Amino acid sequence: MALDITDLKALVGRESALVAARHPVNIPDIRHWSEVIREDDRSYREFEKLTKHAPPAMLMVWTMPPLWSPETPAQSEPHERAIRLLEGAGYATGLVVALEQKFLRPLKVGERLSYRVKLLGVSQGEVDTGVGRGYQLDLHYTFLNEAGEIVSEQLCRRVQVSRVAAQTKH
Amino acid sequence: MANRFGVLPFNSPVEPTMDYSKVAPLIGIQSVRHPPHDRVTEVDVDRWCQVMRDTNPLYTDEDYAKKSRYGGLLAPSGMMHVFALGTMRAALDQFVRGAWEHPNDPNVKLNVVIEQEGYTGVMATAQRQQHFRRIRVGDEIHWTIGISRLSDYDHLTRQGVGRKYQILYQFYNQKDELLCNQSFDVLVYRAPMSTRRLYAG
Amino acid sequence: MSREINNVYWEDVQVKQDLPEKSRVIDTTLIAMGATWATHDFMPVHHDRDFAQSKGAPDIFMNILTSNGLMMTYLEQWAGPQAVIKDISIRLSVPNFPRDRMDMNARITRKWEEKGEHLVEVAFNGDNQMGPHAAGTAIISLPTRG
Repeated sequence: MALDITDLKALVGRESALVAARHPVNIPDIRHWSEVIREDDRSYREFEKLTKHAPPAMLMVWTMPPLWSPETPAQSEPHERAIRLLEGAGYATGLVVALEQKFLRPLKVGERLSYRVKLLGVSQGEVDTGVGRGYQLDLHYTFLNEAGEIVSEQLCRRVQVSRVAAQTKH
Repeated sequence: MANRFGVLPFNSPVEPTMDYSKVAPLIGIQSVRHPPHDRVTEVDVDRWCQVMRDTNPLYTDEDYAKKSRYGGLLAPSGMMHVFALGTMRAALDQFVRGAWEHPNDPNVKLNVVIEQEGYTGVMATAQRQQHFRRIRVGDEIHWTIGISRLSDYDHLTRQGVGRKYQILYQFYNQKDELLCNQSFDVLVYRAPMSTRRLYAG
Repeated sequence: MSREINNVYWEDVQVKQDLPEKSRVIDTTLIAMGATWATHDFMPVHHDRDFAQSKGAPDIFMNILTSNGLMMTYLEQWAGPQAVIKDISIRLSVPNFPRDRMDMNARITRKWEEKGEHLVEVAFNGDNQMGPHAAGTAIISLPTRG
Protein backbone atom coordinates (compact mmCIF):
# COMPACT_ATOMS: atom_id res chain seq x y z
CA MET A 1 0.00 0.00 0.00
CA ALA A 2 1.44 3.35 -0.94
CA LEU A 3 1.78 5.90 1.78
CA ASP A 4 -0.41 9.00 1.56
CA ILE A 5 1.58 11.56 3.50
CA THR A 6 -1.50 13.75 4.04
CA ASP A 7 -3.12 10.93 6.08
CA LEU A 8 -0.04 10.88 8.24
CA LYS A 9 0.15 14.68 8.55
CA ALA A 10 -3.48 14.84 9.60
CA LEU A 11 -2.61 12.96 12.77
CA VAL A 12 0.11 15.39 13.87
CA GLY A 13 -0.78 17.38 16.96
CA ARG A 14 -3.37 14.91 18.15
CA GLU A 15 -3.20 13.23 21.52
CA SER A 16 -4.36 9.82 22.69
CA ALA A 17 -6.80 9.09 25.49
CA LEU A 18 -5.34 8.12 28.86
CA VAL A 19 -4.05 4.58 29.14
CA ALA A 20 -3.97 3.18 32.68
CA ALA A 21 -1.22 0.92 34.04
CA ARG A 22 -2.18 -2.68 34.64
CA HIS A 23 -0.74 -2.63 38.16
CA PRO A 24 0.26 0.08 40.60
CA VAL A 25 3.96 0.70 41.25
CA ASN A 26 4.78 -2.45 43.19
CA ILE A 27 7.47 -4.35 45.06
CA PRO A 28 7.58 -7.57 43.00
CA ASP A 29 8.19 -5.70 39.75
CA ILE A 30 10.82 -3.54 41.45
CA ARG A 31 12.52 -6.66 42.84
CA HIS A 32 12.53 -8.49 39.50
CA TRP A 33 13.85 -5.40 37.73
CA SER A 34 16.54 -4.81 40.34
CA GLU A 35 17.66 -8.43 40.16
CA VAL A 36 18.18 -8.30 36.40
CA ILE A 37 19.32 -4.71 35.88
CA ARG A 38 21.23 -4.01 39.08
CA GLU A 39 22.26 -7.52 40.11
CA ASP A 40 20.59 -6.75 43.40
CA ASP A 41 20.02 -10.07 45.16
CA ARG A 42 18.31 -8.87 48.31
CA SER A 43 15.25 -10.83 49.42
CA TYR A 44 11.67 -9.74 48.80
CA ARG A 45 11.31 -9.09 52.54
CA GLU A 46 14.06 -6.50 52.42
CA PHE A 47 12.44 -4.84 49.44
CA GLU A 48 9.09 -4.88 51.23
CA LYS A 49 10.65 -3.27 54.29
CA LEU A 50 12.93 -0.71 52.69
CA THR A 51 11.63 0.20 49.25
CA LYS A 52 9.32 3.21 49.22
CA HIS A 53 10.02 4.49 45.70
CA ALA A 54 10.57 2.95 42.29
CA PRO A 55 13.81 3.50 40.39
CA PRO A 56 13.14 6.34 37.88
CA ALA A 57 14.36 4.17 35.01
CA MET A 58 11.36 1.91 35.61
CA LEU A 59 8.95 4.68 34.61
CA MET A 60 7.86 3.08 31.34
CA VAL A 61 7.63 -0.37 32.91
CA TRP A 62 4.39 0.41 34.71
CA THR A 63 2.35 1.19 31.63
CA MET A 64 3.74 -1.44 29.28
CA PRO A 65 1.05 -3.38 27.40
CA PRO A 66 0.51 -6.97 28.58
CA LEU A 67 1.98 -10.01 26.85
CA TRP A 68 -1.54 -11.28 26.34
CA SER A 69 -5.02 -10.14 27.27
CA PRO A 70 -8.44 -11.66 26.56
CA GLU A 71 -9.51 -8.31 25.10
CA THR A 72 -7.94 -7.29 21.80
CA PRO A 73 -6.58 -3.74 22.04
CA ALA A 74 -8.25 -1.33 19.62
CA GLN A 75 -4.98 0.28 18.39
CA SER A 76 -6.93 3.33 17.26
CA GLU A 77 -5.11 6.19 18.98
CA PRO A 78 -3.51 8.82 16.70
CA HIS A 79 0.08 7.64 17.24
CA GLU A 80 -0.98 4.01 16.79
CA ARG A 81 -2.75 4.89 13.57
CA ALA A 82 0.35 6.72 12.31
CA ILE A 83 2.49 3.67 13.07
CA ARG A 84 -0.03 1.42 11.34
CA LEU A 85 -0.07 3.62 8.24
CA LEU A 86 3.70 3.31 8.02
CA GLU A 87 3.63 -0.42 8.68
CA GLY A 88 1.05 -0.82 5.94
CA ALA A 89 3.35 1.03 3.56
CA GLY A 90 6.15 -1.45 4.26
CA TYR A 91 7.96 0.33 7.09
CA ALA A 92 7.28 -2.61 9.36
CA THR A 93 10.00 -2.27 11.97
CA GLY A 94 9.74 0.39 14.66
CA LEU A 95 12.72 1.38 16.77
CA VAL A 96 13.15 4.08 19.39
CA VAL A 97 16.33 5.97 18.57
CA ALA A 98 16.20 8.72 21.15
CA LEU A 99 14.49 9.23 24.46
CA GLU A 100 14.48 12.35 26.60
CA GLN A 101 12.95 11.75 30.00
CA LYS A 102 12.04 14.36 32.56
CA PHE A 103 11.31 12.94 36.01
CA LEU A 104 9.41 15.46 38.05
CA ARG A 105 9.54 13.37 41.21
CA PRO A 106 10.17 9.77 42.28
CA LEU A 107 7.26 7.35 42.02
CA LYS A 108 5.88 5.99 45.24
CA VAL A 109 5.04 2.32 45.72
CA GLY A 110 1.25 2.03 45.37
CA GLU A 111 0.75 4.86 42.87
CA ARG A 112 -1.12 3.87 39.73
CA LEU A 113 0.04 5.65 36.61
CA SER A 114 -1.64 6.57 33.36
CA TYR A 115 -0.16 8.10 30.27
CA ARG A 116 -1.16 9.83 27.08
CA VAL A 117 0.81 10.24 23.86
CA LYS A 118 0.80 13.15 21.45
CA LEU A 119 2.14 12.82 17.93
CA LEU A 120 4.36 15.92 17.75
CA GLY A 121 5.61 15.53 14.22
CA VAL A 122 6.61 13.29 11.34
CA SER A 123 9.49 13.67 8.92
CA GLN A 124 8.66 15.39 5.62
CA GLY A 125 9.42 12.20 3.74
CA GLU A 126 11.76 9.27 3.82
CA VAL A 127 14.96 10.14 5.64
CA ASP A 128 18.22 8.38 6.36
CA THR A 129 18.29 7.25 9.95
CA GLY A 130 21.02 5.45 11.82
CA VAL A 131 19.13 2.20 11.35
CA GLY A 132 18.07 2.50 7.72
CA ARG A 133 15.84 4.63 5.46
CA GLY A 134 12.41 5.36 6.81
CA TYR A 135 10.12 7.78 8.59
CA GLN A 136 10.74 9.55 11.83
CA LEU A 137 7.98 10.12 14.39
CA ASP A 138 8.28 12.41 17.39
CA LEU A 139 6.09 11.45 20.30
CA HIS A 140 5.41 13.29 23.52
CA TYR A 141 4.42 11.16 26.50
CA THR A 142 2.80 12.55 29.63
CA PHE A 143 2.64 10.34 32.72
CA LEU A 144 0.18 11.11 35.50
CA ASN A 145 -0.77 9.52 38.79
CA GLU A 146 -4.35 8.73 39.81
CA ALA A 147 -4.80 12.25 41.19
CA GLY A 148 -4.00 13.72 37.77
CA GLU A 149 -0.62 15.00 38.92
CA ILE A 150 2.01 14.93 36.15
CA VAL A 151 4.96 12.84 37.29
CA SER A 152 7.00 12.65 34.11
CA GLU A 153 7.21 13.86 30.54
CA GLN A 154 9.14 12.27 27.73
CA LEU A 155 10.13 13.01 24.19
CA CYS A 156 10.57 9.91 22.14
CA ARG A 157 11.91 9.74 18.60
CA ARG A 158 10.82 6.62 16.83
CA VAL A 159 11.75 5.52 13.34
CA GLN A 160 9.83 3.12 11.15
CA VAL A 161 12.05 1.38 8.60
CA SER A 162 11.48 -1.36 6.07
CA ARG A 163 14.74 -3.09 6.91
CA VAL A 164 17.07 -2.53 9.81
CA ALA A 165 20.49 -1.59 8.50
CA ALA A 166 22.36 -2.90 11.50
CA GLN A 167 26.10 -2.72 11.75
CA THR A 168 27.18 -6.20 12.71
CA LYS A 169 30.30 -7.01 14.66
CA HIS A 170 30.89 -10.21 12.71
CA MET B 1 27.83 -54.08 45.77
CA ALA B 2 25.69 -56.44 43.79
CA ASN B 3 21.95 -56.04 43.72
CA ARG B 4 19.64 -58.46 45.43
CA PHE B 5 19.96 -61.00 42.62
CA GLY B 6 23.71 -61.08 43.12
CA VAL B 7 24.43 -60.09 39.54
CA LEU B 8 25.42 -56.90 37.80
CA PRO B 9 23.06 -57.06 34.83
CA PHE B 10 23.80 -53.96 32.82
CA ASN B 11 27.26 -52.96 33.91
CA SER B 12 30.49 -53.84 32.21
CA PRO B 13 33.09 -55.60 34.39
CA VAL B 14 35.24 -52.47 34.48
CA GLU B 15 32.31 -50.38 35.61
CA PRO B 16 31.14 -51.49 39.06
CA THR B 17 27.61 -50.69 40.06
CA MET B 18 26.95 -47.90 42.54
CA ASP B 19 27.44 -48.65 46.22
CA TYR B 20 23.93 -48.24 47.56
CA SER B 21 25.14 -47.84 51.15
CA LYS B 22 26.60 -44.46 50.17
CA VAL B 23 23.17 -43.11 49.33
CA ALA B 24 20.91 -45.10 51.66
CA PRO B 25 21.11 -42.51 54.48
CA LEU B 26 19.83 -39.85 52.11
CA ILE B 27 16.57 -41.62 51.32
CA GLY B 28 13.38 -40.81 53.17
CA ILE B 29 14.38 -37.64 54.97
CA GLN B 30 13.17 -34.13 54.18
CA SER B 31 15.42 -31.07 54.16
CA VAL B 32 14.98 -28.16 56.52
CA ARG B 33 12.22 -25.78 55.53
CA HIS B 34 13.35 -23.18 52.99
CA PRO B 35 11.80 -19.74 52.61
CA PRO B 36 10.49 -18.62 49.20
CA HIS B 37 12.18 -16.13 46.91
CA ASP B 38 9.03 -14.12 46.44
CA ARG B 39 5.75 -13.65 48.19
CA VAL B 40 2.71 -14.75 46.16
CA THR B 41 1.58 -11.50 44.59
CA GLU B 42 -1.09 -10.30 42.21
CA VAL B 43 1.66 -9.18 39.84
CA ASP B 44 3.29 -12.60 39.59
CA VAL B 45 -0.07 -14.33 39.32
CA ASP B 46 -0.97 -11.98 36.46
CA ARG B 47 2.26 -12.87 34.63
CA TRP B 48 1.38 -16.56 34.89
CA CYS B 49 -2.17 -15.96 33.66
CA GLN B 50 -0.95 -13.98 30.66
CA VAL B 51 1.44 -16.75 29.61
CA MET B 52 -1.06 -19.55 30.24
CA ARG B 53 -3.96 -17.47 28.85
CA ASP B 54 -5.87 -18.21 32.01
CA THR B 55 -9.00 -16.09 32.47
CA ASN B 56 -10.18 -17.62 35.76
CA PRO B 57 -11.53 -14.57 37.66
CA LEU B 58 -10.43 -16.05 41.00
CA TYR B 59 -6.89 -15.18 39.94
CA THR B 60 -7.26 -11.77 38.34
CA ASP B 61 -10.61 -10.20 39.25
CA GLU B 62 -10.42 -8.96 42.82
CA ASP B 63 -14.13 -8.12 43.13
CA TYR B 64 -15.15 -11.55 41.92
CA ALA B 65 -12.63 -13.28 44.20
CA LYS B 66 -13.78 -11.30 47.25
CA LYS B 67 -17.36 -12.42 46.71
CA SER B 68 -16.33 -16.06 46.17
CA ARG B 69 -16.10 -18.63 48.96
CA TYR B 70 -12.38 -17.87 49.24
CA GLY B 71 -12.93 -14.20 50.10
CA GLY B 72 -9.92 -12.99 48.13
CA LEU B 73 -7.59 -13.55 45.20
CA LEU B 74 -6.00 -16.96 44.75
CA ALA B 75 -3.01 -18.15 42.77
CA PRO B 76 -3.33 -21.10 40.38
CA SER B 77 -2.30 -24.32 42.12
CA GLY B 78 0.09 -24.99 39.25
CA MET B 79 2.19 -22.09 40.58
CA MET B 80 3.03 -24.07 43.73
CA HIS B 81 6.60 -24.78 42.70
CA VAL B 82 7.24 -21.31 41.24
CA PHE B 83 8.05 -19.68 44.54
CA ALA B 84 10.43 -22.46 45.55
CA LEU B 85 12.63 -21.91 42.51
CA GLY B 86 15.74 -19.82 42.94
CA THR B 87 16.41 -16.29 41.83
CA MET B 88 18.14 -15.76 38.51
CA ARG B 89 21.50 -15.54 40.33
CA ALA B 90 20.85 -18.77 42.26
CA ALA B 91 19.87 -20.60 39.06
CA LEU B 92 22.95 -19.45 37.17
CA ASP B 93 25.15 -20.39 40.15
CA GLN B 94 23.64 -23.86 40.13
CA PHE B 95 23.34 -24.64 36.42
CA VAL B 96 26.31 -22.75 35.00
CA ARG B 97 28.77 -22.71 37.90
CA GLY B 98 27.67 -25.85 39.75
CA ALA B 99 27.24 -24.11 43.12
CA TRP B 100 24.00 -25.19 44.77
CA GLU B 101 22.06 -22.79 46.96
CA HIS B 102 21.26 -25.41 49.63
CA PRO B 103 24.26 -27.81 49.68
CA ASN B 104 22.98 -29.75 52.69
CA ASP B 105 19.73 -30.87 51.10
CA PRO B 106 19.50 -34.65 50.52
CA ASN B 107 18.93 -34.25 46.77
CA VAL B 108 22.09 -32.17 46.43
CA LYS B 109 24.16 -34.73 48.37
CA LEU B 110 22.66 -37.49 46.24
CA ASN B 111 23.60 -35.62 43.10
CA VAL B 112 27.23 -35.45 44.21
CA VAL B 113 27.39 -39.24 44.62
CA ILE B 114 25.48 -39.88 41.42
CA GLU B 115 27.87 -37.73 39.40
CA GLN B 116 30.91 -39.35 40.99
CA GLU B 117 29.47 -42.70 40.00
CA GLY B 118 29.32 -41.61 36.39
CA TYR B 119 25.59 -41.05 35.98
CA THR B 120 26.02 -37.75 34.19
CA GLY B 121 22.77 -37.66 32.23
CA VAL B 122 19.66 -36.31 33.96
CA MET B 123 16.08 -36.43 32.77
CA ALA B 124 12.81 -35.52 34.51
CA THR B 125 10.15 -37.98 33.44
CA ALA B 126 7.03 -37.35 35.53
CA GLN B 127 5.49 -35.14 38.14
CA ARG B 128 2.56 -35.50 40.51
CA GLN B 129 0.97 -32.80 42.60
CA GLN B 130 -1.57 -33.51 45.32
CA HIS B 131 -3.23 -30.25 46.28
CA PHE B 132 -4.68 -29.99 49.77
CA ARG B 133 -5.26 -26.24 50.01
CA ARG B 134 -5.43 -23.30 47.64
CA ILE B 135 -2.65 -20.72 47.39
CA ARG B 136 -3.82 -17.24 48.38
CA VAL B 137 -2.32 -14.00 47.12
CA GLY B 138 -0.15 -12.73 49.97
CA ASP B 139 1.02 -16.20 51.04
CA GLU B 140 4.64 -17.04 51.69
CA ILE B 141 5.20 -20.61 50.50
CA HIS B 142 7.90 -22.48 52.39
CA TRP B 143 9.14 -25.81 51.12
CA THR B 144 11.15 -28.92 51.94
CA ILE B 145 12.75 -31.41 49.60
CA GLY B 146 13.71 -35.06 50.02
CA ILE B 147 14.37 -38.26 48.10
CA SER B 148 11.53 -40.69 48.64
CA ARG B 149 13.07 -43.58 46.72
CA LEU B 150 16.01 -44.60 44.58
CA SER B 151 16.25 -47.80 42.57
CA ASP B 152 18.80 -50.18 44.07
CA TYR B 153 19.82 -51.63 40.73
CA ASP B 154 20.52 -50.30 37.26
CA HIS B 155 17.83 -50.09 34.61
CA LEU B 156 18.53 -50.41 30.94
CA THR B 157 16.90 -47.40 29.34
CA ARG B 158 16.90 -45.83 25.90
CA GLN B 159 19.36 -43.28 27.26
CA GLY B 160 21.74 -45.86 28.71
CA VAL B 161 22.23 -47.64 32.02
CA GLY B 162 20.49 -45.64 34.69
CA ARG B 163 18.88 -45.23 38.08
CA LYS B 164 15.48 -43.82 38.82
CA TYR B 165 14.71 -41.75 41.85
CA GLN B 166 11.82 -39.75 43.15
CA ILE B 167 12.02 -36.32 44.71
CA LEU B 168 9.35 -35.26 47.17
CA TYR B 169 8.62 -31.57 47.63
CA GLN B 170 6.31 -30.44 50.39
CA PHE B 171 4.88 -26.95 50.28
CA TYR B 172 3.55 -25.07 53.31
CA ASN B 173 2.05 -21.62 53.74
CA GLN B 174 3.12 -19.13 56.41
CA LYS B 175 0.65 -20.72 58.84
CA ASP B 176 2.44 -24.09 58.45
CA GLU B 177 -0.52 -25.58 56.64
CA LEU B 178 0.50 -28.24 54.12
CA LEU B 179 -0.60 -27.01 50.69
CA CYS B 180 0.78 -29.68 48.41
CA ASN B 181 2.89 -32.82 48.07
CA GLN B 182 4.72 -32.90 44.78
CA SER B 183 6.71 -35.85 43.55
CA PHE B 184 9.12 -35.62 40.71
CA ASP B 185 10.56 -38.66 38.92
CA VAL B 186 14.10 -38.40 37.66
CA LEU B 187 16.21 -40.73 35.56
CA VAL B 188 19.98 -40.42 35.83
CA TYR B 189 22.04 -42.44 33.38
CA ARG B 190 25.49 -43.37 32.19
CA ALA B 191 25.78 -42.79 28.48
CA PRO B 192 26.33 -46.22 26.82
CA MET B 193 29.97 -47.31 26.49
CA SER B 194 29.71 -47.45 22.72
CA THR B 195 28.53 -43.84 22.56
CA ARG B 196 31.16 -42.76 25.02
CA ARG B 197 33.92 -44.38 22.99
CA LEU B 198 32.59 -42.56 19.97
CA TYR B 199 32.74 -39.24 21.80
CA ALA B 200 36.15 -40.04 23.28
CA GLY B 201 37.26 -40.08 19.66
CA MET C 1 -14.57 -6.51 33.63
CA SER C 2 -17.57 -8.54 32.66
CA ARG C 3 -16.64 -11.77 31.03
CA GLU C 4 -18.83 -14.78 30.65
CA ILE C 5 -17.96 -17.31 33.31
CA ASN C 6 -18.77 -20.93 32.60
CA ASN C 7 -19.01 -23.56 35.25
CA VAL C 8 -19.24 -27.23 34.51
CA TYR C 9 -21.51 -29.08 36.95
CA TRP C 10 -20.86 -32.60 38.14
CA GLU C 11 -24.36 -33.78 37.23
CA ASP C 12 -23.86 -32.71 33.63
CA VAL C 13 -20.75 -34.72 32.81
CA GLN C 14 -20.47 -38.36 31.83
CA VAL C 15 -17.70 -40.92 31.89
CA LYS C 16 -16.12 -41.22 28.40
CA GLN C 17 -17.08 -37.62 27.64
CA ASP C 18 -14.39 -35.71 25.72
CA LEU C 19 -13.37 -32.19 26.68
CA PRO C 20 -13.23 -29.66 23.81
CA GLU C 21 -9.77 -29.74 22.23
CA LYS C 22 -7.47 -26.75 22.38
CA SER C 23 -4.21 -25.91 20.65
CA ARG C 24 -1.40 -23.65 21.60
CA VAL C 25 1.34 -22.44 19.27
CA ILE C 26 4.73 -23.18 20.82
CA ASP C 27 7.15 -20.37 20.02
CA THR C 28 10.26 -18.89 21.56
CA THR C 29 8.19 -16.29 23.40
CA LEU C 30 6.02 -18.89 25.12
CA ILE C 31 9.00 -21.05 26.11
CA ALA C 32 11.17 -18.20 27.36
CA MET C 33 8.37 -16.23 29.04
CA GLY C 34 6.87 -19.42 30.48
CA ALA C 35 10.18 -20.32 32.09
CA THR C 36 11.38 -16.94 33.34
CA TRP C 37 8.46 -14.57 33.54
CA ALA C 38 5.69 -16.94 34.63
CA THR C 39 7.49 -19.69 36.55
CA HIS C 40 10.79 -18.08 37.72
CA ASP C 41 12.81 -20.95 36.24
CA PHE C 42 16.07 -19.38 35.11
CA MET C 43 17.82 -22.55 33.94
CA PRO C 44 19.36 -21.16 30.71
CA VAL C 45 18.30 -24.12 28.50
CA HIS C 46 14.78 -22.63 28.64
CA HIS C 47 15.61 -19.10 27.48
CA ASP C 48 19.11 -18.97 25.98
CA ARG C 49 19.40 -20.68 22.59
CA ASP C 50 23.20 -20.53 22.58
CA PHE C 51 23.36 -22.19 25.98
CA ALA C 52 20.83 -24.87 25.02
CA GLN C 53 22.80 -25.69 21.88
CA SER C 54 26.04 -25.87 23.84
CA LYS C 55 24.33 -28.56 25.93
CA GLY C 56 23.45 -30.56 22.82
CA ALA C 57 19.80 -29.55 22.48
CA PRO C 58 18.68 -28.30 19.05
CA ASP C 59 16.97 -25.26 20.61
CA ILE C 60 15.54 -23.96 23.88
CA PHE C 61 12.77 -26.20 25.21
CA MET C 62 9.81 -25.83 27.54
CA ASN C 63 10.28 -26.31 31.29
CA ILE C 64 8.10 -28.75 33.19
CA LEU C 65 6.32 -26.04 35.16
CA THR C 66 5.08 -24.40 31.97
CA SER C 67 3.93 -27.75 30.57
CA ASN C 68 2.12 -28.54 33.80
CA GLY C 69 0.69 -25.01 33.87
CA LEU C 70 -0.64 -25.24 30.32
CA MET C 71 -2.32 -28.58 31.03
CA MET C 72 -3.81 -27.39 34.34
CA THR C 73 -5.04 -24.19 32.70
CA TYR C 74 -6.61 -26.21 29.91
CA LEU C 75 -8.52 -28.31 32.47
CA GLU C 76 -9.48 -25.36 34.69
CA GLN C 77 -10.62 -23.22 31.77
CA TRP C 78 -12.96 -26.04 30.84
CA ALA C 79 -14.22 -26.70 34.38
CA GLY C 80 -14.68 -23.09 35.49
CA PRO C 81 -13.69 -21.16 38.60
CA GLN C 82 -15.69 -23.25 41.07
CA ALA C 83 -13.77 -26.43 40.23
CA VAL C 84 -10.64 -27.46 42.13
CA ILE C 85 -7.87 -29.71 40.82
CA LYS C 86 -7.06 -32.05 43.70
CA ASP C 87 -4.42 -34.27 42.19
CA ILE C 88 -2.52 -34.17 38.90
CA SER C 89 0.07 -36.59 37.52
CA ILE C 90 1.96 -35.77 34.36
CA ARG C 91 4.48 -37.75 32.34
CA LEU C 92 6.74 -36.03 29.87
CA SER C 93 8.18 -37.45 26.68
CA VAL C 94 8.88 -35.41 23.52
CA PRO C 95 10.11 -31.89 24.42
CA ASN C 96 8.29 -28.76 23.25
CA PHE C 97 10.59 -26.76 20.98
CA PRO C 98 9.87 -23.47 19.17
CA ARG C 99 8.04 -23.63 15.82
CA ASP C 100 5.72 -26.34 17.10
CA ARG C 101 2.13 -26.61 18.23
CA MET C 102 0.65 -28.49 21.17
CA ASP C 103 -2.79 -30.01 20.77
CA MET C 104 -4.52 -30.65 24.08
CA ASN C 105 -7.35 -33.09 24.62
CA ALA C 106 -8.85 -34.90 27.59
CA ARG C 107 -11.52 -37.45 28.46
CA ILE C 108 -13.45 -38.14 31.63
CA THR C 109 -12.50 -41.59 32.88
CA ARG C 110 -14.22 -41.82 36.27
CA LYS C 111 -16.97 -40.03 38.20
CA TRP C 112 -17.70 -40.52 41.89
CA GLU C 113 -18.52 -38.95 45.26
CA GLU C 114 -16.14 -39.03 48.17
CA LYS C 115 -16.32 -37.28 51.57
CA GLY C 116 -18.97 -34.90 50.29
CA GLU C 117 -16.98 -33.96 47.20
CA HIS C 118 -18.12 -34.55 43.65
CA LEU C 119 -15.15 -35.78 41.70
CA VAL C 120 -14.16 -36.71 38.18
CA GLU C 121 -10.95 -38.17 36.89
CA VAL C 122 -9.75 -37.03 33.48
CA ALA C 123 -7.02 -38.48 31.31
CA PHE C 124 -5.32 -35.75 29.30
CA ASN C 125 -2.80 -35.46 26.49
CA GLY C 126 -0.71 -32.66 25.06
CA ASP C 127 0.73 -33.71 21.71
CA ASN C 128 3.15 -31.78 19.54
CA GLN C 129 4.08 -32.45 15.93
CA MET C 130 6.76 -34.95 16.98
CA GLY C 131 4.53 -37.01 19.28
CA PRO C 132 3.26 -36.95 22.85
CA HIS C 133 4.70 -34.12 24.94
CA ALA C 134 2.71 -34.57 28.13
CA ALA C 135 0.14 -37.10 29.26
CA GLY C 136 -1.46 -37.73 32.58
CA THR C 137 -4.48 -37.86 34.80
CA ALA C 138 -6.12 -35.34 37.09
CA ILE C 139 -8.77 -35.54 39.78
CA ILE C 140 -11.06 -32.52 39.71
CA SER C 141 -13.70 -31.56 42.27
CA LEU C 142 -16.71 -30.06 40.45
CA PRO C 143 -19.58 -27.94 41.76
CA THR C 144 -23.09 -29.41 41.80
CA ARG C 145 -26.37 -27.85 40.71
CA GLY C 146 -27.94 -28.70 44.11
